[in-house]
Amino acid sequence: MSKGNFEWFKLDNAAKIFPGQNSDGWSNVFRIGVQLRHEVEPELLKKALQRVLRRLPCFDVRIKPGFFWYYFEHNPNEPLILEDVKNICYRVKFRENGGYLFRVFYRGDRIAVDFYHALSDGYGGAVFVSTLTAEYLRLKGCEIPSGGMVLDLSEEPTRDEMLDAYTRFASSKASYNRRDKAVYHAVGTKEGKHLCNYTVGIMSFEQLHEICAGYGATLTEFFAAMLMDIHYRKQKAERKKQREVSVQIPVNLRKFFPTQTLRNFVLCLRVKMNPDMGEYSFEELVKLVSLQLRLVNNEKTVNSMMTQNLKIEKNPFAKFFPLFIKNLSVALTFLLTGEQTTSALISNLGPVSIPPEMEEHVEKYLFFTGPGKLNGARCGVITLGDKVAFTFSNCYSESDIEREFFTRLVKMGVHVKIESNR
Amino acid sequence: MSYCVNCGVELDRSAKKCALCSTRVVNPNESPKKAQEAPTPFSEMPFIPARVKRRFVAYIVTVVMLIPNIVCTLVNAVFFREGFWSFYLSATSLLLWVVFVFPFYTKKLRPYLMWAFDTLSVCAYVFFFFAMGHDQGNKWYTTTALPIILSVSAVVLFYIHWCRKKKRHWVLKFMLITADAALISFAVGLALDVGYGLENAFPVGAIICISCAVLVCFLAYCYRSQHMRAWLSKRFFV
Repeated sequence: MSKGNFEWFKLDNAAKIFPGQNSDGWSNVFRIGVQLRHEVEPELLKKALQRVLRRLPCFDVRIKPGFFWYYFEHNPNEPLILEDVKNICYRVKFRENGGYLFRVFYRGDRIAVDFYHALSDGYGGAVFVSTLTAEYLRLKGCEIPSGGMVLDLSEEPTRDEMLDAYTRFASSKASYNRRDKAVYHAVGTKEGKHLCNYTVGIMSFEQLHEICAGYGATLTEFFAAMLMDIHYRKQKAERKKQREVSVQIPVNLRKFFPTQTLRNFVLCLRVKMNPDMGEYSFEELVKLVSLQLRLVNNEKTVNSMMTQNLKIEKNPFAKFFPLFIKNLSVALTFLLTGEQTTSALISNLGPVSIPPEMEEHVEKYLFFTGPGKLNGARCGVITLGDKVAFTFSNCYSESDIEREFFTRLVKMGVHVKIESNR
Repeated sequence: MSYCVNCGVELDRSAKKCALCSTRVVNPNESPKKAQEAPTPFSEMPFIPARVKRRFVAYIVTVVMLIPNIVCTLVNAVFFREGFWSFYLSATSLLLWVVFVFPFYTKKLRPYLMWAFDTLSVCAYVFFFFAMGHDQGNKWYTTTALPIILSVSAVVLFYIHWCRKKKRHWVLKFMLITADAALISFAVGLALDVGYGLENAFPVGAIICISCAVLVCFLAYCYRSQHMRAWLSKRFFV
């Protein structure tokens, strides 16, 4: 980062791998959307976006290739507001969209922002969308105070918001080696290039919480166990060689370390089960997931994982390789490991905290994890008040996993409302 | 408000079918017109980004390939005038261009067209060497080179056609490649023996051909016989 201003800054440790994974047909993109209680006016939204970008300089950037690494620099172009499309989270090209790494969409009563993951993580995205929506509502004439995920636009951006938190907090002396092998994938008929199926289930938090409490698990653990169980039984029915089933769970590290950075600060944990160990009931899987997750989801373990990840970046040999070689090696590593080691992904953003005055105008929040290359079940969860939005991003045309997931919940007594682009 | 009778989930007002099981929505309390007018939660229009201009890439590669050829031709014409050595480079560049760059000029992959062009260009390339050589009385082009090229080409054509017909198991693909190798080695041996007078070529080709044929028979038996596969996995487990 240049001293005193934000003209350019380095990509954080997690962001460094995303440009290497970028291809003509796929990018690591996620979306956070808001459904309001009235129609969205694009002119006001554009005005709101311009104001918000001044407050959030870490989003007002474009990515540029250096000789050794990519870097972010201030983007002098004007951001665009686009009408929404069916295939959300489609790939990102660095020269398109005025160089911006996020795309703001509107449609009817909805505002949605697609973020390239190198820019920020789910928390940063939620802050951006909440601040943008709040400013839009203010321009509409509503009295919306700041607070929670809505930032005060009159304040100056802080250094903490721009912090590369991995470098700041990775301090463990232990290194955590994760050796993962190829796991089961519920593959099907692939949708065309740039296309993906999205299915959203809107549920009641109260009802879900009651069920999870019955199993002694959190919402994330319960959902992860359910995904694991569905994959486990699907694989068993296929009568092929039984492989491990693994669910990837990104964890927000801000709960362990004192920072509110708006850049990436997540780490992906994995929970897995081995079908060769014997027959598992759903209750056993919930317990297995809970125990595995709680074993690693603590400050010391995640710190050692962060340190291990940073070691690769700081390696003097790797450091001085030209960018194109780094890109090639990242692409190759992603091809060989990447999604090969996970059967499904579940990212729970948790409850969105916005001022009650704003909540009156907001129907719900939506969180889409973007399509996978191999995984049919990439799920995003976000909660606003009593509404939990559970989203499946599925690159295959089959909907059996979504169906099994939501019908199980219906059988447990949860009311599920489905929205889909199918 | 509609519910799927199959899944039990509530559906969006605009839904014409259940997104989970594709069951058609029939709600006698709501007119179908109302459902049609209701806004859908997602846009109906996908955005398909423009593809990378393959032709542009092909143009660039063509220009890059042209530069050394032009330079060498000029050098051959002006400085080192002995022989037509730059023609060999040009012919090789042309062959490489037809095989590797030309496919990028077509909008989609056309295997049969590419096969035809590749065969013709290889024939022309070898003929160029034959024409430039000094042992034309030998007629090796028609008696040896052409039969080899055409037999390899025919085998490749069959393989393309067979693979495109339907998805094949990897064992079958491997079997066909081995069978192809058997046919090619036989044809090459025969062509070298008859056309070029290389006496040991035919026996060597025949030995390779028989070895490949035995391997193909063994693989075919393994592929068909479950008992054999079970026995192999029992005996050779790692």
